[in-house]
Amino acid sequence: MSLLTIALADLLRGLRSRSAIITSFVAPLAMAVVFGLMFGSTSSVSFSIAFVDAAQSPVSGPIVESMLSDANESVSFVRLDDLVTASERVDDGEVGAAIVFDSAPGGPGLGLSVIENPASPLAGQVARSIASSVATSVETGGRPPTEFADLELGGRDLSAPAYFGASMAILLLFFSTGMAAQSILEDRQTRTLDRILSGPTTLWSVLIGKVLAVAVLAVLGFMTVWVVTTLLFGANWGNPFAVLLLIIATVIALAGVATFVGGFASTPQQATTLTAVVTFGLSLLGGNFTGPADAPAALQSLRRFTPNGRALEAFTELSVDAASIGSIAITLVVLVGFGLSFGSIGLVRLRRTVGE
Amino acid sequence: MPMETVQPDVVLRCDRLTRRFGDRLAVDGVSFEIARGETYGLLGPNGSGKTTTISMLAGILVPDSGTVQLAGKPLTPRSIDAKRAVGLVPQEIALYQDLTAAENLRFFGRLQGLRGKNLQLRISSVLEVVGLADRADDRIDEFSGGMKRRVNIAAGMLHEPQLIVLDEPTVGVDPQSRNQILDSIEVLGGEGVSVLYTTHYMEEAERLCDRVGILDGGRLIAEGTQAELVSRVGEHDLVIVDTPSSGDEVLVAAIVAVVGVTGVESTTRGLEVSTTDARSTLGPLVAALTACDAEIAGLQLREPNLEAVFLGLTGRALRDT
Repeated sequence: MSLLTIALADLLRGLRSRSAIITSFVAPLAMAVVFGLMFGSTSSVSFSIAFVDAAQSPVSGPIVESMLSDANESVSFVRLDDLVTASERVDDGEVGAAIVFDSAPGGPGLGLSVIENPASPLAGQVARSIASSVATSVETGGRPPTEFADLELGGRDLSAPAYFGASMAILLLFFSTGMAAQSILEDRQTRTLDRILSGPTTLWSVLIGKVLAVAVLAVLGFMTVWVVTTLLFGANWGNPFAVLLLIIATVIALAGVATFVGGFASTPQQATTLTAVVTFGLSLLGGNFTGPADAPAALQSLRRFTPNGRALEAFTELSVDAASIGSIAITLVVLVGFGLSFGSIGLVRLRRTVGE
Repeated sequence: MPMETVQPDVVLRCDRLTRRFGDRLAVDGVSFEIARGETYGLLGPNGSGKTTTISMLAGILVPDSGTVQLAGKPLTPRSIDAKRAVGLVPQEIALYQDLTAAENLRFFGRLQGLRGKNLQLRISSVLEVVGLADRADDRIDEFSGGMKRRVNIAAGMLHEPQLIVLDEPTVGVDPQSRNQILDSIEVLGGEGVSVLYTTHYMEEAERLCDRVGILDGGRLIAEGTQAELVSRVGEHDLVIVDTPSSGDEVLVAAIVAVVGVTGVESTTRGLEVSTTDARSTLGPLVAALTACDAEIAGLQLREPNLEAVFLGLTGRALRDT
């Protein structure tokens, strides 16, 4: 009962706190709106990908021809004559990326390369996926893809507001969930914690109650971003029930990380600084700043090991692939497990810190 | 037939409390009791162990050795009944600044197990006691320092504890709020609530406390009523007489003969007359001086106080520590 009393009081304080409101609601929403406006108020991102068939081979010719006639709402294809022109057009932003078919060096095979522009990360990701599918089919002797729908990315609705809405909401979750540790350390500083503990309330109730309050606030903030980007930009986040579960699992994961980080602080100021450092690091690794395809390969492989990267990947699956709950079930379990593990360690450390 | 001795109820009994932080012995075998309705002052310089002692009495800190009994029940971090018997008022403003006075009191009241109408009645009652009934719905961060301290005290007495522990509750408050706070504490004593009071202001301890304990270096070096402590350090009332007749032996003999006078000393200014009670001795003393035709240039009463006791026991003034 004390736990709920503490959670409700902290929730009320959070709803009255300007910084908590900005961190949980205003900032992620504003950033999602900005990205939404940047990518237009449609539900999809549109870009074009160029093909350069320098190989002129029996394999590359049909693929390029088929692709050129298979544009969809999100992606259009154009043919360019040579590598130099393609590079210039990509650099100028006229096309998002280019796929170059060339003769394999020293042999009769097919060479494939992709030219990307960091300003168009989604186009780069799609182009690399196309190139990868072609390369795989050639190597395995399978039927080469001749339609966009045959590709790994075929049929995807690349919803930028959904992607960046989730990305920004996750980014700011680090800060909003970090407020639990800060609040506990503040209570110790003002001796409010002493007053609470002088009554029949345990320290565990205080710790868990405060984490619960920020978690509820964070879920509400995330859901606001979801609803507003859907209503304003027509963003397609995917299966609502799966999205809700993923939001909750993401909040649990990041609340666990934030509590873990807070466990290394002994003052609220230290907790704020540590949270900022870890947020920056994990956001960089998890792709919150860079977009889905703009990170170097090494960083991209690390993404799956960060809770934010993992969550972002699942949000992308729900949005782009219309994935079901079943297909993100493992991610849900991983996120919750991550949050509970790190959160428990953080709580034990915080308990030791404030109990001294 | 032997007379039956009635012992007052003991609300707090702590026995040989000891607490160490690393190599530092913060509290060293402290024992004392507080009776029902008694106001007990705990005086000591910074670092003397007051806050550590209070933390152990409030169940926040577990002693390395020794025991605490509250309302007859042993105090442990899990002893709910014993913990409910204490109301802690920390020196800091232990309130949420972004909640109103009533919301803060509702929060702390609920943590103490109060609910519904009873909780609402208690909130109204304690705000009345501290004179803030009309500010119940104002946020704490809109209050003056003195008003915050008054709500701080109200939160400690909300659940009607048998013992209220007040840690320097008047630090940095304006005179009006200070008086209001002291009046509230006197009301508590009158209602049978026991009070453990720490302060740097000796006049507050003299006004409020039935008994005083002096902590120094983690040890309780003296305890008793103000009169007992004064007598223990050998201090006594003095009447200082400014007179040029201090060498008159007849005059000295006449003064010594006054009831209550315990000694006379000549000084450069006149005479220092030691008495058991300066106020009651003053009249007969002036009569004796007049009878001897002694010229009286001035009279001064000096009654030993806790400041003098503290100085006598520790060798330094409390406010200098």
